[in-house]
Amino acid sequence: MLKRKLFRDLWQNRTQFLAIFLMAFLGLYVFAGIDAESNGIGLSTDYYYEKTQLADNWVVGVGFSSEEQKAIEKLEQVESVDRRAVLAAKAKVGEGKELDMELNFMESINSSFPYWIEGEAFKADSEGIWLEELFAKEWSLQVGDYITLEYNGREFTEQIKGIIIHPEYIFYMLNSDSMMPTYGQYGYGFLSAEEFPMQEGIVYNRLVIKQNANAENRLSENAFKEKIKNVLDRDDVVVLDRSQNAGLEMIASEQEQHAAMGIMFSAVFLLIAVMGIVTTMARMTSNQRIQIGTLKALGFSKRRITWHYVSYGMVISAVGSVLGAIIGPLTLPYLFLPSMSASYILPEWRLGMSDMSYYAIVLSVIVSTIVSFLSCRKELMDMPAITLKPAAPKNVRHSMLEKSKLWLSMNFSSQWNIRDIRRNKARSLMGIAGVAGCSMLLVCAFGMKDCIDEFIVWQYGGLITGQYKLMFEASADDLDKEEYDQQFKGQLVQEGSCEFRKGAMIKSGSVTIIEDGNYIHYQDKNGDEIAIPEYGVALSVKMATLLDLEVGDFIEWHIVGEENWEKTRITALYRTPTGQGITLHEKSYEAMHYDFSPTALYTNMSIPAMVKDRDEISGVISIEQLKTDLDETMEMMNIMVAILILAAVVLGVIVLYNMGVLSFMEKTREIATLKVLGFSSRRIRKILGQQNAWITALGIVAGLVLGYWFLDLIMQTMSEDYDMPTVVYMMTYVYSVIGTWIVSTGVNRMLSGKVKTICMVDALKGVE
Amino acid sequence: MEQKAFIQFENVSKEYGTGDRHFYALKDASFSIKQGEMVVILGPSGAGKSTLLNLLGGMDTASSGTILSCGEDISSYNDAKLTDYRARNVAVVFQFYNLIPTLTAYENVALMKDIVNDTLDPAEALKAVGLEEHMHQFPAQMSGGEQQRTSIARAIAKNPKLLLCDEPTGALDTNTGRDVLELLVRMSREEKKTVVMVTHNSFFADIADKVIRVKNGRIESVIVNEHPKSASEVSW
Ligand SMILES: Nc1ncnc2c1ncn2[C@@H]1O[C@H](COP(=O)(O)OP(=O)(O)O)[C@@H](O)[C@H]1O
Ligand SMILES: [Mg+2]
Repeated sequence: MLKRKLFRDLWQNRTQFLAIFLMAFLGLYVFAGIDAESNGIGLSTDYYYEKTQLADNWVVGVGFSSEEQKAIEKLEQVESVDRRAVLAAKAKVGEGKELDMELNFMESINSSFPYWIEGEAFKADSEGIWLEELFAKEWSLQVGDYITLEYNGREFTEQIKGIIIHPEYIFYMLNSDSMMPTYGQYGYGFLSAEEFPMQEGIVYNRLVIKQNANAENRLSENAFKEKIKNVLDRDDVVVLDRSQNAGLEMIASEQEQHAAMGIMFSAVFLLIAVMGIVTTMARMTSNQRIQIGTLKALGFSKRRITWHYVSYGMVISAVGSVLGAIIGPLTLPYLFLPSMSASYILPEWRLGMSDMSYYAIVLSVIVSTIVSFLSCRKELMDMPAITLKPAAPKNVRHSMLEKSKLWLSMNFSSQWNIRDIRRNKARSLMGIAGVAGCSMLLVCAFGMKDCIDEFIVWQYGGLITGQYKLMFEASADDLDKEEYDQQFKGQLVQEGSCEFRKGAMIKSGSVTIIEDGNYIHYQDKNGDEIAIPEYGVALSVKMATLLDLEVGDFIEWHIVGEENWEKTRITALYRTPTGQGITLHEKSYEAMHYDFSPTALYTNMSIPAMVKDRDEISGVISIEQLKTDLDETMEMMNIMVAILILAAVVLGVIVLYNMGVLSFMEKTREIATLKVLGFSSRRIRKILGQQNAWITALGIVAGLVLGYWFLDLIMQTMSEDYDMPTVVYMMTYVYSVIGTWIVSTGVNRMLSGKVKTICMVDALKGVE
Repeated sequence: MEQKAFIQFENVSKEYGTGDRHFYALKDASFSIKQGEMVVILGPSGAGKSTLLNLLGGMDTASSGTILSCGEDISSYNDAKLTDYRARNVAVVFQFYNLIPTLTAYENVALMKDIVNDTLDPAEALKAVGLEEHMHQFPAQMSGGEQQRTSIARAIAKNPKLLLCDEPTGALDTNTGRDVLELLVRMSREEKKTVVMVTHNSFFADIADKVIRVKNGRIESVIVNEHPKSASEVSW
């Protein structure tokens, strides 16, 4: 019979319990949904890496001999080593179009196999080319077709033997200036080394290593890399692991980022659910005080009664959580999939919750149960004789405010509302938290767009002021580059990859060498323009933080492809959103006996169309075009923004409605009394509306602050390469305030209609 | 067992408050009740009647003194044992019925099945109080008298050794009150239940086997009525 009471009570308090249910539901919906998605990424990549036997390490250098290969292969920790030549080539497609294509010439293949899509399986001693899928699709290339390639001025034609994708290219962009990939506009291919057009001159610039998983003396990643370096005994190589492959790292950190967001958002919902339980259970048990006493007098044990009341919170949160965990994974991931699959190339996208989701359900139910217990414990502890009487009113002390003169000068409405808030602290707090959550999410939603805008303005308005970037071929002559510099009145820059060492820690990043000019700018931490000193190196702020270095310290660095490790004093710190690493002035670089060999030229002069077809030029980038492309590829962002706005509104409506109904039920008698005294419904609505306005205002202030903090947190979870500015424009705050206000007053409208429905006679009839 | 006292209060006191505001709601109460007796506790409002009844029902604990009931020393009991004592031996009828508002009359009575094994059939109990017509109504849909009869049916269903009533007719009009009273007397006479009823209405004294008068927390007198009247004979 108590069970029936349970269900009827739930039904009678359905608004509150529905709110708790929805919050528990949303909490787990978001958590399990995102968990299924982010854990699914892990499952998908694991499958992909496993299936293709992805290599563990890559050694990058100018050239590797077969002795070197054999020496590494002898190590007991190593299963296989393949030599590979990775070269930037051009593919001729369509009508006279030349597109970038990275070619992998394989001497042998024992790991890192291409993933087969169509055609023959890849063999390292077979003729023809295995072409990447999206490129082939974009240009309607089929197995059996021929494709003309050009490397180093030499044209050659290959038959397409197969269509593939490759795990090393999960995410790839050919130039580091763009933010999002535009697959199909460039591609990659795998061929046998025997297909190399200049047979005499193949230079293997990469060793691909698969570690022996069954080796007796397994080494740590760093020790293993050190060992490889020792075996090779040269300093001009870099040993990379999977975490240093840009694509592999990107998708791994994207997975982490999603998981972190899932946790943060569900925490917000579950927090609200818990507050809902506190207020609802406390109210219900105090309303049912006499019933509790009766049950006790009838001989029900304390344990049974406690269990009965605790089950409300438990049943609701359990049902909500489980439903959320079922429906979340079935729907939420599909919001992410389109944009994820546009960025990352995987053979298939799997979904699957991790154990975390099950723990989250259990946690949510346990917390709700404990909270229910704590909120009704008071009524359950007393002797039945005490509980059978209505509770003695609390000894409400008069606050300082109520004793002050100010109090007397306040109107009735303010006095009434202040007392009401003081008497219902939990309910008021819940209201503030709900409003704060709503405006916090709105700030995050709009702020995310601000950050991206700010990034574009900063990167391509503040730091890079050139309109065009002229990219040189690796083979171009330095004197020719000078000539371009003269002709276009530009600024030459050399960009490359770099490694940094501090103790046992090695980080990879970028190195930039600039000549004097006015198209590349640097800013310090505060955004003030600084000049790159003509001696020492300048270090990016984020890399300085990662390596724990400051101006005046020495940094050990090493350009990929050079023999020596340099140890140079840090003479400046600069802040940059992308490409963390170091920047040197041309003079400082040359003082170290390096040759300044520019890779690109920034200029503001318009560049004739034929320039990009010249042999020395690999491409021309228009910054304007880059910015437009970027805007178009921000769809992922728009989805996130839409989800956040929706979540904000749902949260706001549920919490405020719940709070409103609660306060309304508590105040029914008071409202009826006011009516009897002659207050009009309109006047009463105004009094209630005033309290709502206060709560909303407080919530909004808290929400704006929290929103900035939350957004900052999201930006911090981005990958190590980025140092995104957390910026919230004034208009974002304005939109958030307006949005929250609309939600709040809208809910208040819905509720205030109820004032009319209160019947004086019924409400004042009597207790129990 | 028959001859021994079924209920025995020995110097039972109940104190409230501390220091200046300290006072006795019940002081040095001693009396005894035999099995099957119909006892009325009389006294003005605030005298300590409810306090006495709550102690007897194990719903409250005494500050000092010994309470024996149904052969048990309940004054030495802790919370859990008191709960068990209530469940096994006692049924209470309150002034304000105290039904569970979200359960129907039938369900309120059937609730007893959750705590006692050998309950009477809820439908039978409701029939006994003349409520077979209203079995599936919620408390809010019944009159005060019907609600109180439901609460008595709930007590009957439990088949207790001891039936305690705290001003059972207090909230009812004369005629309805008389019906309820008749029902309780019948319980005592026909079912041989020990019934202890608290009231401030001295007319009830005539129907009792024993009348205990309480005033200012003290037992004023205990009178045994040799020829109790029937409920219909008492005038209000
Ligand atoms: N929980 C309590 N705290 C303090 N005083 C109490 C409490 N319960 C009852 N009293 C006091 O004890 C006295 C007896 O109360 P009660 O037994 O309820 O009287 P009645 O005879 O009307 O049923 C009253 O003066 C009452 O104020
Ligand atoms: Mg009383």
